[in-house]
Amino acid sequence: MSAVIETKKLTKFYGKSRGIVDVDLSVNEGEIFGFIGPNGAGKSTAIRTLLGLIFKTSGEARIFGMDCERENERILQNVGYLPSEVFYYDRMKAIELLNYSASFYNKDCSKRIKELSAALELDLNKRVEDMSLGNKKKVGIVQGLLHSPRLIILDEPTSGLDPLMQKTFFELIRRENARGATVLFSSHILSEVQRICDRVAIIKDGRILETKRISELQENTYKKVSFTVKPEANVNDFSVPGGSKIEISGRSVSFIYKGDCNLLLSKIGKHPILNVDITEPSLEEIFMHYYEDGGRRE
Amino acid sequence: MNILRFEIRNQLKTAAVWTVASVLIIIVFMRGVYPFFLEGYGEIKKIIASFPKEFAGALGLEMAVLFSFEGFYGFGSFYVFVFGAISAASLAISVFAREKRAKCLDFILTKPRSRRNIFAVKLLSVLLVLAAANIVYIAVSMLVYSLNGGKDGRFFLAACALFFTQLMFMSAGVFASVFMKRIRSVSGTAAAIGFGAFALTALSNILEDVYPDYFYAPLKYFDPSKLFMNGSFGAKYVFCALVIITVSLGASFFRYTKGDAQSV
Amino acid sequence: MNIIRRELKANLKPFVFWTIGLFILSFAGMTKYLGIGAEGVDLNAISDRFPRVILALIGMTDADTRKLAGFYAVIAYFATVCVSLYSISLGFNAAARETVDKTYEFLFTKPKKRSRILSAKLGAALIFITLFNILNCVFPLAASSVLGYKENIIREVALFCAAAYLVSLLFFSLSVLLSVVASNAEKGARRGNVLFVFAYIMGVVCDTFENPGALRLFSPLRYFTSAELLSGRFSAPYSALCVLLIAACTLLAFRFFERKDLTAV
Repeated sequence: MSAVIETKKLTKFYGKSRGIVDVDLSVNEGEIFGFIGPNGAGKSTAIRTLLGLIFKTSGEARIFGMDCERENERILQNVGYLPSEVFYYDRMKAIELLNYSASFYNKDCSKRIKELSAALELDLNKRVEDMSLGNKKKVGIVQGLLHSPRLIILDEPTSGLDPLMQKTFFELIRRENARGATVLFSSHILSEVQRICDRVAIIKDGRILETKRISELQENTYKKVSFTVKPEANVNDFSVPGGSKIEISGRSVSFIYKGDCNLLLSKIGKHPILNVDITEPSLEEIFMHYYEDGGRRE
Repeated sequence: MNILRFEIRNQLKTAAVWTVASVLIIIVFMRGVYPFFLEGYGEIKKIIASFPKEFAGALGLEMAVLFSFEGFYGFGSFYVFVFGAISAASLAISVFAREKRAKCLDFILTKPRSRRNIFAVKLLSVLLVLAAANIVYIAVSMLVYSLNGGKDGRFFLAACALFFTQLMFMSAGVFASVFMKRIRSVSGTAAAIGFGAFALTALSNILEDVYPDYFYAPLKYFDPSKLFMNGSFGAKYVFCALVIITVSLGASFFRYTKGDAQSV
Repeated sequence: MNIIRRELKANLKPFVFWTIGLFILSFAGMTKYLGIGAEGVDLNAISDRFPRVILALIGMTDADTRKLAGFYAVIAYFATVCVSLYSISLGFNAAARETVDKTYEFLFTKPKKRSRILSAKLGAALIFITLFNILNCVFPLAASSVLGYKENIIREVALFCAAAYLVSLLFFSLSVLLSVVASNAEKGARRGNVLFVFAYIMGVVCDTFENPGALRLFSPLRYFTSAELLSGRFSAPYSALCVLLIAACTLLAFRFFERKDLTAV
């Protein structure tokens, strides 16, 4: 697989204040890549540097194997971008804006505009400035997708969209992905990254802490286990190798477990079980773990 | 082409209003006011004749130019220039600050166009609009002149002076749009630029006797009266104009193509 | 108070720029008087023969530039233009800056009545206008004493500056009203500036007539003419008109502002 986005030690300082430091990213063709971190971590800075909106201080950034600064024009031919805050020209209807946007690409996008805006239930004859944040965002989405780009960069795309619309939006992105588009998706909401991304990079204070598969992130981590025994039974004692923080209260037991699942199940099986609950920690919890320890690991 | 069409379309209304206004000013001046003006000339000549000799000579010449059709055209041009300067600056600002004002710089800069190309096309759009407006203005001026039986070949150059002046103020407008952090109002910024230039001109008129040079008053660089009096606008002023245009456009170009796009 | 403090800070930079402009205008203008005195040639004899239109265009009708006061009158006219333009920009800023900067959601959701916010903004602008007008009075007097002119023009300067103050307040309140009423900010600004150009042209038109009569009503720049001020008259009816118009515009501006839909752009 070839890398669609590749950065090496990419660094951007705004004067003296930090933007991003030594960011190494590699996004493969056809994947949906999550870019996650708290506010002010440097997500937008990284994206804006990739797009050539701002200029790096040092390091290297390539898209489609081309240099993000020198070959910006050729790169952008195949990139669609949705900014985190959508602002467009004053006194323009949505359709006028979209047609203007389409006129930058040498292809007929009118069908796509219709399809996309129908899918998003967007009224094209309204002025953009009169629209709600959510509807402006929809204009932004159509604007970013109308030329069927090979790379889609989304900067906190779901803010302002209602849950139903978010669902439609994710379907849209999956469809684009199935078509072959690579997606870079920045967010601070972990559940949505979890929902759609293949891999994720965690950024904090301008540095990448870790890049992992979503599944990997959740593997090899603790599981939360709790079970309840039947009314007539009683639990006086429970222990299992790998279990910790065991809490027994009446007929319920809860603990955190890391280790062989077979062992866990056989141990639990010895009790007259009424109900078992084994959950993976949410990405939030994993993330908090990175977020809190991040500084020490550096 | 698409940017060009977009930008030109957005300038049309303003440009049309300014063109009509400038043409009206010149017609009112030359067809309406000038004949009245001429009536007083005889008496003024008499007064000048009563002045001390060396003084009367220079003043007499000045008055002779002022009372000629060409000279009066130069006098009236100043007012056209003030409005022309404001309009050129406002067109340039509206085009070059459009994205900054609407906070959608991201939009245009993430399109597959180099920033150089965007800058060049925007500049071209303003130039085309200004050129079109000036063709109308020059044509009307020439028409008025020929109706009056004028024959001086330099008149054409004098009629072009508005365009040259506007080029400077257009550049100033581009400079302001690119370098100012925020343009709250297009017409307000353009009016401030125009008033600044107007004040400098008033200043140079006042200081004329003490310091004859007027490098600080760009509205006078292409003064048609000077053309008719001395045969040229003055090489040093033309040079100054070129410097203003080159420096402000050059600096703006550099900043526009190399600077970080400010995020919202 | 917090709003006023912020407004004062935000408007300080433009104030400095405009002050520099006014300073140059006043000082450079006053130096020229020396020149005329020295020549010993009566240029007024020539300008007396100019048609009024021309004198109107250069702002020199009724001005006897042989006297310092008459000479000052010409400068005072340009200073009034300067003061008015500054007031117009302040008016626009007071009424529309939050919408232009898209910070209106921040400010207008604070527990404060809209009218309170607007009054704070207008108050801050008023402080600048007043300061500017005081400087407008101080500069020519300072110039006159620095340049060692013997003639006393304190009375004329005071009258011209009082007139300029009233006129600038009128343009200020008009600009506020226009900006408040306009559906988008740029429209408001444009109307304010066009209004000024109109007033300027009407001023020239007024000057071309010996007796403009009711035409003066259309140009605030002619509510107080040089001729009247130089002869020590401060038109009472036009002062009253000014005050009335200022009050009306301000009142209307508040009315509209209270009920205005605050939206972006």
